[in-house]
Amino acid sequence: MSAPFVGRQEAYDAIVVGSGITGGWAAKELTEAGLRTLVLEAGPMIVPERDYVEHVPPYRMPYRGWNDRKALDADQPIQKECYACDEMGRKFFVNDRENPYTTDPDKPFLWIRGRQVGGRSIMWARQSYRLSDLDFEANARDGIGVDWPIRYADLAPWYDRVEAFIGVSGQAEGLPQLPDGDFLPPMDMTCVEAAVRDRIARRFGETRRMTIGRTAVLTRDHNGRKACHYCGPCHRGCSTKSYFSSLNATLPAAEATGLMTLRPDSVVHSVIWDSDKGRVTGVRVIDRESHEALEFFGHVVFLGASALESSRILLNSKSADFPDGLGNSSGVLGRYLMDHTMSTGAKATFKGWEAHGYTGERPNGVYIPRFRNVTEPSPDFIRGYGYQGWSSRKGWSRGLDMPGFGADFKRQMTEPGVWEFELGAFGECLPREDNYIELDAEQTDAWGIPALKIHCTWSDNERIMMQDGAERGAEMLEVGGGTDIELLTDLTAPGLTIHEMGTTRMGRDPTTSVLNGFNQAWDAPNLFVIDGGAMASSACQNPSLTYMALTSRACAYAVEARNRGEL
Amino acid sequence: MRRRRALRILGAAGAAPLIAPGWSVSDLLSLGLDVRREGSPASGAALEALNAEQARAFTALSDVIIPETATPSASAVGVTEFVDTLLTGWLSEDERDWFLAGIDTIDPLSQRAYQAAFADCAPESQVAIVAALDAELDRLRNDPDSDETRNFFYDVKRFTLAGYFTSEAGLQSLGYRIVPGAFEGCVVLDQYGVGGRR
Repeated sequence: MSAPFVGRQEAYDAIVVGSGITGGWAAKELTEAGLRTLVLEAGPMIVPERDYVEHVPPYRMPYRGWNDRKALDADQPIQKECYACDEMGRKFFVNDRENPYTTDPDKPFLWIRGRQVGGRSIMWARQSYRLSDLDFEANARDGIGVDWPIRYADLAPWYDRVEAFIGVSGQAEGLPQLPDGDFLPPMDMTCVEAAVRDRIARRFGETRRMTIGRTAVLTRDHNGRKACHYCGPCHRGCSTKSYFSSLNATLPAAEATGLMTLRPDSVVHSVIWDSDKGRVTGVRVIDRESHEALEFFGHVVFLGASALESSRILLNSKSADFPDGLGNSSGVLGRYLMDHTMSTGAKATFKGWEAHGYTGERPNGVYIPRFRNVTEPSPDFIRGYGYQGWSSRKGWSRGLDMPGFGADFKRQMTEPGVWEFELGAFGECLPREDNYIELDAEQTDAWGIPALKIHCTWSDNERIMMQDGAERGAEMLEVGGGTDIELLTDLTAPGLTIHEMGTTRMGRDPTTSVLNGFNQAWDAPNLFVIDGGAMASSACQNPSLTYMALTSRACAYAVEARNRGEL
Repeated sequence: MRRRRALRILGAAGAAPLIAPGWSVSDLLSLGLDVRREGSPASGAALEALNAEQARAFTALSDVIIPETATPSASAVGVTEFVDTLLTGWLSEDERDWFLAGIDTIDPLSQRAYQAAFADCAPESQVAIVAALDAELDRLRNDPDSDETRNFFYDVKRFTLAGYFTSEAGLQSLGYRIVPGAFEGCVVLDQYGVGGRR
């Protein structure tokens, strides 16, 4: 850095880095506990009334939802790999030219990012599942990675607290591997889904069960937010705030306390370490627009910038005491990067339901909780996968795969086509030391901050597991009555599931982990990392709900410690 | 601090775009963040890529694929203008040239068969020509050694269907509502064929 950082005199009670799913929760919990809190967000302000675009119909867009291909190729060649980076919603994804990173030549990693107030909670897919002791005990049982320092009983009250605020719709199933919450009413299954569910239950008894997805979308009014109106494209925003995002719920709650200062356009460069005090004192920031270098001070710092960004900030926080980065005295900072495997499974068509359809666009699918190495052991791999699934009737695009034109063809295209049903496995990824990130000595982002080199591959366990996921998926669709069954066996590159995690893992031992069981850095008592970096294993469930519960718990711990004068 | 380097994307899209010298951050941001809301041009808007003959030929082709019935035809909802927008800003130069070259084969075809430009042919002659194009497309579709998407008529049909069914009238014919208000998962359609995705 050539520019000197200009310090701000004011010291906050707390600084939160990131305004997404975990930063928003920290902002709410800390301000509601009476702490004057500064929230720093790298990207611009998002104003729902101005920026949400979920109701923009295709005919209002030049390319009718087919995307601005040339702009995507030029500015978002990585981000465009995510379905949600579409013609209407691509403003919620970063510009890849401003935010470069590299990978090994034959090892792609797709880093999908949203830098704005609300972060990726604006575009997340909202599936919300609890982890269980099957997951928290897995590393200890298998002798892989480090043992989680917590168990389900430690986190259960915080899952309760988070779900009560955000609102999760779903169906209680009483399964030990997928603990229930206090759900809002479940969404409907389609006729075909319900029929397949019943046939799977008849054939596989208690071991495989299809349930409706558990999703952070309101099925009735909740905490001042309106019930869903089923328009469909949640990833473009939600004017009625019916799905949970920090922008829709936690940030307004923090704002209401009068104790939050939200500063957008604040790209955090590093955390400031005070060697004499043995504490962190604040953060260094580059203003996104002016490129001014600034310092902000606070008594406690929470990093919730996403696993890779928070790890990058810490790796860049070098001092005489921590030459390899703050929080890295163990040497594991940036290592054990995980994502969930995705995109293998099966699809089929279903006949006999031509007279049936559905109304509206359900922002949710069905879910089959993990059964592999729960009730059905596998000799070939450890851990397991769950399925997300969805059925629908084909639309007019089927006209491209068939002959026809003219009045009759036109009428036919306005009718719903054949029923299709797809099951997609989401698999657990093992924590491996050789999946890691490091700072690039050469390349920087548009703000002069060192870019990342990302080294990440799937292991054989994931590949073998996901082949099994495809085969068992096909088996269930066949049992369910499907025909024309197609196996989907191509794994997408790591990163694209957008569940990257594990690079600041929590553990029981300061020599093998970055954080303790309260997300508190072993190296600095007043530094917490609250995003997915804390995960010691990935489980196979969508992780955001767990990140939020961990954040809520970490904040309560920090507030109590502060009140006791220990922080 | 503003140093910028090549962004290498390996294994993703295979592209290696460079950050062009002289770009400001605000330029990059406006490209990255701008969502254009002006909408597609309406029927009758000025064309940029299609010349008059090409526009007449394509318009007539698209109206044979999606003719006027109780609901409007392809051209009445602006499909020709949509395709012109694709040709101008969406297709690569190669793709555009290839599409226009395909359009340029239509009038010579109809001249040979019926001694008239395609748009001037009698309806039954137009139907006969489109039937032949569609039959050839179907032959390629069923030939494991061929890629039917490389056939010019595939794009004619693709752009016509997409332009029509993403137009306001086209979406209405599908029962589309921006705000459905409810999700009912399992309903008996009031009459087969209507409102599967209303």
